[in-house]
Amino acid sequence: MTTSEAPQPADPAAAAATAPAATYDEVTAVRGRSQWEIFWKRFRRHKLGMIGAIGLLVITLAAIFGPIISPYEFDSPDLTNLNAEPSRSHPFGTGELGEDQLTRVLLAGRVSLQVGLFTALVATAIGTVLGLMAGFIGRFTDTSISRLTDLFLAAPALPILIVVSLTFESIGLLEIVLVLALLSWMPLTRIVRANALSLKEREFVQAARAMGAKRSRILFRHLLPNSVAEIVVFATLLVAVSIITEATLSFLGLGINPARDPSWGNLLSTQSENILAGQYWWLTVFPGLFIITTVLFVNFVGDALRDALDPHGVTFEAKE
Amino acid sequence: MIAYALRRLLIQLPILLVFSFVMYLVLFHAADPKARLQQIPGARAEDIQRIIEQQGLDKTWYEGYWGWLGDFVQGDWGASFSNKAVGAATLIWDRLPATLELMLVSLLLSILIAAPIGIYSALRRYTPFDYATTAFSYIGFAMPTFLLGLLLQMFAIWSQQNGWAVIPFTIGLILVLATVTTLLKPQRSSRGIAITAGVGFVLIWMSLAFWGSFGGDGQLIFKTAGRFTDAANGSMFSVDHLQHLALPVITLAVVNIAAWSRYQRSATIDVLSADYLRTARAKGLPERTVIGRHALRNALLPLITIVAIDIGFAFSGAVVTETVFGWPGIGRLLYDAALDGDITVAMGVIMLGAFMIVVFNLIADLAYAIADPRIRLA
Repeated sequence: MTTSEAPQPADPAAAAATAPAATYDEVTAVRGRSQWEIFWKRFRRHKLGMIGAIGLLVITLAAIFGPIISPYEFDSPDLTNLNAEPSRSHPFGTGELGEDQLTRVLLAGRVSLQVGLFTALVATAIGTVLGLMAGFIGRFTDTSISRLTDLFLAAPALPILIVVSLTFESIGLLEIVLVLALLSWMPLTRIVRANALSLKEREFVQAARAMGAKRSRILFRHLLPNSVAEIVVFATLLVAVSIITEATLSFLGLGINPARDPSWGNLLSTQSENILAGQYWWLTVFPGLFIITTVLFVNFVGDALRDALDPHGVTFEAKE
Repeated sequence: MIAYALRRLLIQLPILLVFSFVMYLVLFHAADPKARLQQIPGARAEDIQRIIEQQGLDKTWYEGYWGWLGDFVQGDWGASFSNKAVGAATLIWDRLPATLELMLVSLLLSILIAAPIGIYSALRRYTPFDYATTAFSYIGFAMPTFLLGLLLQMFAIWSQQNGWAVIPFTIGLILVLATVTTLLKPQRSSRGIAITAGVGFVLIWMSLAFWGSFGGDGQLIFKTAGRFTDAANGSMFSVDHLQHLALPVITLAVVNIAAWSRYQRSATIDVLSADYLRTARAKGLPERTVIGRHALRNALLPLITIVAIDIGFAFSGAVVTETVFGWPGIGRLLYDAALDGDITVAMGVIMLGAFMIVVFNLIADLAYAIADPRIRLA
């Protein structure tokens, strides 16, 4: 690990003659790197991670601004142009009412990306809070939270999702986020709990306690920051999983109601007939491509984050 | 060990109980069979009343759950609301072989492909082969099951139009694309890359030359729906059955292969750096013996655990694949039952699924303890 960035004069004597003599401290001083700098330096070196981050940025910007720029509306029918192949005016073709598919896919992207993002946020919040409570408070709280986690972990996820989504009259963004988050917080709770349990006994926490630190200070200054790596990585990968799960549910007709919001999944929900009839391939391929690339990019970023946040990882390569 | 297994199962019982209660509540709220009866056109009020009394639909949720639970533990899984001729248990048992078949075949295929891939890419780390399989598993992870199913159906229709030549064409395309991933990290000239790309191009060229000459007369090479063309007297060992089996099995296998090959890779890498391997090499054993007899035995152990756990979840995860391919298994049954508000059938399948997860989690632990003498179960 090389840490020296301070200039090293080729000839110390000459340097001392021309410049005011530097003190020992100044010569050997190393500018400290903040945690952010270290993180960013490592993240930037992860080629796939950068590809993923830039790709996600492009997809997000396209989903936000694409529909605004687009001359078409989400459901503007064009009855002279039904199920048209991709062309210059409709790069992704048109749907069964002549809607421009590019606009639809981008609008659906807004919903699918939000599902991923918000589900990850909600589930991460639940998982972190429960994990910290279980690990820090202990005793009865720990037992009950752990049993609850076991209960949710032992459950077959997809059947539950199907049954739970049936209880809603019609499912929109809010409902799907709540349902997905309710079924995905458990692994994080386990991780954060285990972390808190072991950190609680470490010397620096005991020292903080001995100095009279309040419980909240120990929780938020000592236990939480030491779990940040796991929490961030979990949240990122959960974005990918949620996008896939939402698409699956919507494909089965149990997810987001197509009449309320378009999502990549429900754009695909009626495509089986078209495929089996051997027609309108563009209606399947483009939403599908968007799902795969988005999830792929999110997973790239997740891997890069895992490497960049790993305290045991190599900070700098020897050549630097 | 038997005592341990029994104790583990006993601990899980309350969890299953609470789980069944919650699921019953949700289903009871969602299904609402009474409202469904009311919607039947032309149904007379007294008929509705009679059916409600016959099937005990006027029970409150706690009466309903208590009655269901009592019957369920005694082996009576209740009457099916939508299919009155047979009970829920019969419906489920009839569908079970189809799901088990799909699971077992895809499982075997996945292990047979994933384990060698994982081991080989661990032995040849950072080679083009390693990069290509890594790329494959990234895509496998990012692919939703239903989308893969749809794409395979597309492939089936494509091969229907163009004949058997489509298959070598696709294989060739995959081989060529696999070599593309190695461009990410420029390599010294490698014989492997050259051969792979060469074989790929030859396959593509040959299949283009014979494009449409084999088949392509509108016959489906891969059937896109169902288990048999003639469901009444289909044979398990007919070509027709294989044609139906291929696509759903591939759909299930791709996800497994993507996950398990990565897992096998890291397990092998762990073993390769172990001290006892250095000892084996120092003794002068040939590399083949070191890898084949010393390393692989331990490297294959962790896969047992992950496979067992995944089997438990695969059981209830088959819903999507079975729905896409119209496979008459219990996943499809659950989907239909849930949509029809058929509480008893849906509860039966869900409880079976939860039970499988519990059992296979236990099997995972036991198998690992048997295979690895260092682990003692207490």
